[in-house]
Amino acid sequence: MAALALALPFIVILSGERAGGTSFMWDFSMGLGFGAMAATGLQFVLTARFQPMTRPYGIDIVYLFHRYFAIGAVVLMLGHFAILYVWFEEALGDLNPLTAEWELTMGRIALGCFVLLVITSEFRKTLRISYELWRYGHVALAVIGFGAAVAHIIGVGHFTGEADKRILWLGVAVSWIGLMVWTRLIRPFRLWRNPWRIVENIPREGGVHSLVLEPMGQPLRNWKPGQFVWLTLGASPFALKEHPFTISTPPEHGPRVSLSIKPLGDFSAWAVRTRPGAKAYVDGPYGAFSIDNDPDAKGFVMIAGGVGITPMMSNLHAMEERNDPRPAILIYGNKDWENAHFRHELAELEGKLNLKVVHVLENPPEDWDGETGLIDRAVLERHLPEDTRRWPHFLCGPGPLTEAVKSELLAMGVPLADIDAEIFDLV
Amino acid sequence: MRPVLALVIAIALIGFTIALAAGFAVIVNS
Repeated sequence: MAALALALPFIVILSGERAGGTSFMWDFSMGLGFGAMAATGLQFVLTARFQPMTRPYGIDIVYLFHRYFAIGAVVLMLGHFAILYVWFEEALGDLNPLTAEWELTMGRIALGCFVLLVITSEFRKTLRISYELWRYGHVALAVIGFGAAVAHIIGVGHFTGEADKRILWLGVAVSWIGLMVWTRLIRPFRLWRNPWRIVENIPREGGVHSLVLEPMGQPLRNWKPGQFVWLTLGASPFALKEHPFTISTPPEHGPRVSLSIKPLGDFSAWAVRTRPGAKAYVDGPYGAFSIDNDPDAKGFVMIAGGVGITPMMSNLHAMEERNDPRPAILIYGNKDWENAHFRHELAELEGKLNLKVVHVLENPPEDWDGETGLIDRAVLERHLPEDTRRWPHFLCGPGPLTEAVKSELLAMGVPLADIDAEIFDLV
Repeated sequence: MRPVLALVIAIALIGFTIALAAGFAVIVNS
């Protein structure tokens, strides 16, 4: 599908009356420009959160793919520009927008927007741009850049001059605009028509709060344990003020969902103070971090750090509801015992399930006789017997923890395909 | 597994696009 979409502009250009070539380098540069345009258009498809596309891979991977693919598209654009700059500098004309040809200025604006998009996304934290500002800026730069690029292509008119081809190009642009309307207007409208209500706000160990939400209209559809939703609180769904949170209850406890939130950022610190009765909007469920993804698994290994425990809770509660007899081993790292979220619930689950919970504490209390320090190779080898190597391994927690554990597991002989890490911290 | 796959597919698609651009340049100049 993606390959066909990328090839489409070339098929269009080469169909019908064909314009003659100029030289290989010139036409290669033009080809890179068209290819970059098609690749950029695909980004809007990737970020529209179409469920049929996000379900098999997990939306975190779709966003990661968006990141890699978009960087590639900008490389194509830079290639398009660089070839012209090196071999055909005179064709670029004046840099001053007042005297330059407008369509070339449009091209420069598009290039500037897309380069800025990549820089602000890759270095958002270094540049100290808030998540909200980044999100508004990201959408604005994408729309301006894309519009400028369409204007640039039609204005320059190479290979697009004939009326039929111009119509085809406009058709491509209109379908991309349609995608944007879907993402920014229709999808939020559907969320707005289906509000949720906070019915409980339960304080838990380590400052975490569980917000229990009840649907006022439709409940979640096709919900699997371990998935997450985008939550909008105190704003309309059109405002782009949504944040992802894992559902910590299993679908069997539905239609209510419980989101366990640790006050780490501005939004989450505010969200944990929400009172029952408040309205909320829930978009989801998304994610593929679920025991249901591997129905034939003989058992499960779960490794969590801090608030990364929430998707494990949902999966474990689902096992409890289903009387799932399969064994599960949970290795759970925390700074100290006070911060070990859900420790009471985990102790209860240990009694009901074939579950072994291993707490690993960095700063253990004096009478502690469990594991201490970080989740390292020794801890993993002590608690994961040889026959667990082919079980699915779920990792969720801070980036450095999941990365370190992942490389240890690989070194211990766990196949890469059996390691599933949830990636939240993309920008 | 999945992150590596995302990177591989992205590189493959960009490579494919570059090949298309080169093929296009060859066709229009032939």
